[in-house]
Amino acid sequence: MIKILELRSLLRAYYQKFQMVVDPVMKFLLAFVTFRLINSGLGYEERLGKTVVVLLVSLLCAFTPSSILVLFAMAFSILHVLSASLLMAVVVIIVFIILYCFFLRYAPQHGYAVVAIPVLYTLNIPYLVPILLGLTANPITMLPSACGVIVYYMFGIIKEHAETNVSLTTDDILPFYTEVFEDITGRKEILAAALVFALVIIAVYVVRKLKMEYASEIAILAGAVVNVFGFLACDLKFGTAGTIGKMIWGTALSALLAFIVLFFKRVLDYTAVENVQFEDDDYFYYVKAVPKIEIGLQEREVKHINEKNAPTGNDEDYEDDYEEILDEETGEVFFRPKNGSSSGSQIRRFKGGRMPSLYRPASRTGEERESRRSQEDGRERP
Amino acid sequence: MLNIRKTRLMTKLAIYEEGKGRQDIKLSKYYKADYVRLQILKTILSVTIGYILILALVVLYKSEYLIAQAVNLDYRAIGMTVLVIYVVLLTIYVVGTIIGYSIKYDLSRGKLAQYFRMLKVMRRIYREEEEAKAGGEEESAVEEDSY
Repeated sequence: MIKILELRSLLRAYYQKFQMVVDPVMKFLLAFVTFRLINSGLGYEERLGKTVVVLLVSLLCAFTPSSILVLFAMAFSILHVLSASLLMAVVVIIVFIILYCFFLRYAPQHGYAVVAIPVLYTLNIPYLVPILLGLTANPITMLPSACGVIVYYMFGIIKEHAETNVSLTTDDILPFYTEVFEDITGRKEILAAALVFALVIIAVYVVRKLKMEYASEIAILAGAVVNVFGFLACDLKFGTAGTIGKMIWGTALSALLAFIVLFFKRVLDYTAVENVQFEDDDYFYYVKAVPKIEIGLQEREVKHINEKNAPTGNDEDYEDDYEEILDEETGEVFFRPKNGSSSGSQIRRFKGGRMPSLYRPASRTGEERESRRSQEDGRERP
Repeated sequence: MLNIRKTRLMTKLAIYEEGKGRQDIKLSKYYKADYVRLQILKTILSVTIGYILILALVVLYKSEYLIAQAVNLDYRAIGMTVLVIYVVLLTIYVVGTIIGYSIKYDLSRGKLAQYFRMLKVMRRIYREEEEAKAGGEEESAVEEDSY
């Protein structure tokens, strides 16, 4: 446990130190992988597939808010479809606007789910998104997650039909659109997947909010179980039982990744350095606020090599080595070692007759002190 | 001279204002009823635009049939169906908006309580500074008089 705490503290310290580098690098990698996957998934526009273009756009996304990444991902998808069919590109834009009007505008800060779900579907771990949304946000995020599912299926269907309709002449465009429209509205698994994702978000959120130990960890497991049973029912209903094994593996991997994300979230939450600027009547302030870090110190064991001479740490035992002598003339108390041959064979005198804290027993109560003082007074004034 | 206590408090206020508090502070400018009404208006607008676009997609899908049957279509019945669906959709969204944004407003008020407490302390610090300044000016005036 101590090792984990130390690792946590170490990660926090490093994150604070290299935050200016870590954040853009992570965003860059995320953007690069996202654009690469979009290019390999659709891939109609060859110019967008060039590494230079991907690198430049990823670099731009590294230093801008995450909503820019979502915007670029949408633009990439639309441009790919545009090179396949102009009408379909217009339809895709209209679908995006509809999704925004009906779903996304209620949770715009979670718009990344619209990109994350289709991208993670290609890696077979889209189940990570609803688990994380339930873990970090609220149930309203079921709307962007539904958008993500719709977008994934929509592009899948467009790609499927674009491959069969190789020569898209002007006369073929309307039938192509009709086929895609029929396929999208006819596929019940789109609704089922969106529903299961919504259930996972609700399950994770409800369990996370319970007042019990390890609520977040149990919530991840609950989400994974709901996900498996939900998609199991879907697979059996829609006759896609061949994907059950893939789905279970994907869910297990998603749950594992969710645990890792939870660990880092706990470690790095509220540890980011804040740079703020403000002013009052007299000054301009440019403040860098660094959150305090609690470092889990390792317990140190003290080993006494020469135990006979070394103090044991117990004041009472140490005091037993000395005898207390009262100087009746001055009223001062002397402490003389009982063992005359030891290094402290000299008589030690403490002014006021009081022992310093090292020699004073910690357990002596007020009553004992009073009785001792009265004894001394009695001896002084018989 | 710098007042460390004031700087600390101002830093905390600035972090909240630029981060999580941005949305809450924006909401605090409205009364609850006004805020919910504004959101209802936005919802009506967005649902209307979304619904028109869905209709456009459906019309495009059915375009061949619509052109072929343009004379025989029962436009009144189609209009009524479209209107009923629109009203039902709008009702669901408006009710959802009222509930959702009322909860959001109440939650933001709760979060703002701590912020207002810090502002109150800030006001006290300013008052203390002004009093100290006024006291210092009076003392210097007395000293000048004595000279």
